Amino acid sequence: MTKKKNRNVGIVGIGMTEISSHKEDQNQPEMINEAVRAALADAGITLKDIDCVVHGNMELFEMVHQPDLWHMIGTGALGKPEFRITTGGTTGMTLVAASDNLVASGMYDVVMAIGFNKLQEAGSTTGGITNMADALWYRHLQTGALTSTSANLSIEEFGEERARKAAMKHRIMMDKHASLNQRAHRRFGLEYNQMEDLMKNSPQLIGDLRLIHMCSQSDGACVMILASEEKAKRMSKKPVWIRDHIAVHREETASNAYFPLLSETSQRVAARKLFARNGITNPVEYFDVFEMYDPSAWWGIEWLREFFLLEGDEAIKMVENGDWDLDGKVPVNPSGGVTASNPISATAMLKPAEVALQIRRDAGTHQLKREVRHGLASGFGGVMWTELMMLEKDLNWQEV
Amino acid sequence: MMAKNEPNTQAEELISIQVVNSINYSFPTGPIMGKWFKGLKEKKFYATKCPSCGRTMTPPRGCCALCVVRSEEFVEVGPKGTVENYDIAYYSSPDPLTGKVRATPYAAVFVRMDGSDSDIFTHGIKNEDIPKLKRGVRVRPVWNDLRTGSIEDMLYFEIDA
Amino acid sequence: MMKKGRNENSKDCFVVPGKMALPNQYFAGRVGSKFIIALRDSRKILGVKCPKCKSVYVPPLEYCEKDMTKIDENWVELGNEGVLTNYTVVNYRDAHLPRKAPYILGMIKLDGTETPFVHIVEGIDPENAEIGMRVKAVFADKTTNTILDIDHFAPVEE
Repeated sequence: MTKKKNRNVGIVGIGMTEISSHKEDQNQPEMINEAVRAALADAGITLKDIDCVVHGNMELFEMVHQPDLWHMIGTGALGKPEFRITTGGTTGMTLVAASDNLVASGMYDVVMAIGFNKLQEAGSTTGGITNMADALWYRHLQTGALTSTSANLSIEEFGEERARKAAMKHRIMMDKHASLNQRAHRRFGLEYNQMEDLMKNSPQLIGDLRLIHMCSQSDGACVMILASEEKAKRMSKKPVWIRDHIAVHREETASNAYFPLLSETSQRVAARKLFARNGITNPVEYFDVFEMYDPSAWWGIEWLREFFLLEGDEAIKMVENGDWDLDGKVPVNPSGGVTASNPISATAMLKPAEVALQIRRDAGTHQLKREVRHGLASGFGGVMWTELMMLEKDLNWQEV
Repeated sequence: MMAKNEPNTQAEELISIQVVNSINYSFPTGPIMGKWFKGLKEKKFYATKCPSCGRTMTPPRGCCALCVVRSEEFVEVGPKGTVENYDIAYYSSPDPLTGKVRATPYAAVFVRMDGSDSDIFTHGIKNEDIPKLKRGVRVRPVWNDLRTGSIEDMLYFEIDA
Repeated sequence: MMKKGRNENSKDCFVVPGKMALPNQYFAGRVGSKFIIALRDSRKILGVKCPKCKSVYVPPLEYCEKDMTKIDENWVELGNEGVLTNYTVVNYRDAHLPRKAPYILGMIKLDGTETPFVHIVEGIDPENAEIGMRVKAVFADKTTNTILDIDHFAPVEE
């Protein structure tokens, strides 16, 4: 079933705060307001031009219920239609997908999507995540996003040494990319010759999942402004077009509990369907950049195989050969990815935002050298939910 | 380039408050989970079976999401099973039921219950068995002497030597 | 099409008590901190004024919510008196509430502002409270770095 849009949608404004921890000098609406003003300035418009606001974060992570009501003093949503969306870790990308649908439908011409998390105000993110688990039989056990089940499977398939090295190499590559990104939260300055040392000495969180592999807990906000094709062409010299997006969250792809007996991961289902309906037969050849939501280095190497519909050790070979590096076949996470910066509900919005910046050539110090026309961004959340989005520089893609 | 927030020249007091939000809840089991907990009280694992694809579900679901049909026929599975995967936690986050931090290491096992080819049930494993954990080991439940119809009626799994 | 009546299955239902207890913290931010510190240490209520639209905000904001002007340098000192624009009487008990029932929660519009904010009104029988009556801030002896550094508002003796 191909998806035909009613009208095309372009990204015309992008605003981000710096991503850090312990933003003690700002409260929540003030932090959001910083990103809102940045996005409005980037688009060259004011609040008057915004028809609708779409707001989201992982509910209760800052221990505020329905925070969009309070945040109105920072979002500028006073007197405007507003949607509140909360879909776990994928929230950031769902906000963009929903805004895309709202504009494409014709209901609104200019929509502002706001994603943020101020995680230092949550005492414990994992504690908050466990609230997703069934209170009667699973909550006492749930370790949230922390799991080594992926590592166990990769180790069984490729052997301890090869798997561990690949995961650590990927992690170090992410840090090298983050070091070029001035907005990234954690930049450790890691070098590849530290691989053996980190593999031995980084504290274990869960099984083979070590502290170094795991994403951070950050504060930050991201805002994107989307407009209809007609308005986008007037408002911006270089609108970035949202070509298509898909969300996969089904029972047979959900939860660690079903993990070993899945017919397919949600990542593979998403990629298979999205690429098929867009006529992409060779994703490694097609895409110029991939911003992947990789909460841990172990999931990172596993999902590269899934997203690009590779088999066996093809993806891990590409890790070993540096094919996912900035000058490789498909640069992955030039922003540093989620292990470097994770203001959760902004994270999944940062993925398409970073791709859009790359397409516009506005990424600054972490701008890719090659030409970027075709971008891919993914979002992830509980439970094993995947979102995948395609962004294009030009409007001339072929409808299948 | 984004400007970093510069601190004031004089030391500025920034207010923050720490709280523990503690809210009591009650969770109704519904008839299906209710029956399952009653089974635990009797040291049994009940599962519901899908009339269409035949898979069993532990804990039971009233509807098979793959086939989108009601699945209210109960069967017994287990009590033993095979470990498909596991998580050994060395880092503990606050228990959301108490706010307290659990002692580490502790481990969760994802067990494929006997009598089913796709039914995974998750519980803890006895601490002493953690060093022996491997994919494919056989486990059996260890029951609480005091059983009231809750998940704690089963203490954890142990390796079935 | 309802096949089974609810009563048939309810014999297996029961209720499990549970709890959610999570630690967290809130940051007041630079602007919020200045407001709280003035309440706590100087027993003064501060607001900010937007030079563009002239709105006065208490509690204060960093940016004017109407036109996004930066206003966190435009502090104004408000008096401690204002008008009760509306109120409700809380008649139930809960561990999370700041007072035992019954007590008055009022909307208080301080002189010099247009927007009321919520606080506790004490020193008057709930039956005798009236919209439009004048009230005055009574500061707390024991402070907590929160809005309760104003302990409550009390009716102004005419």
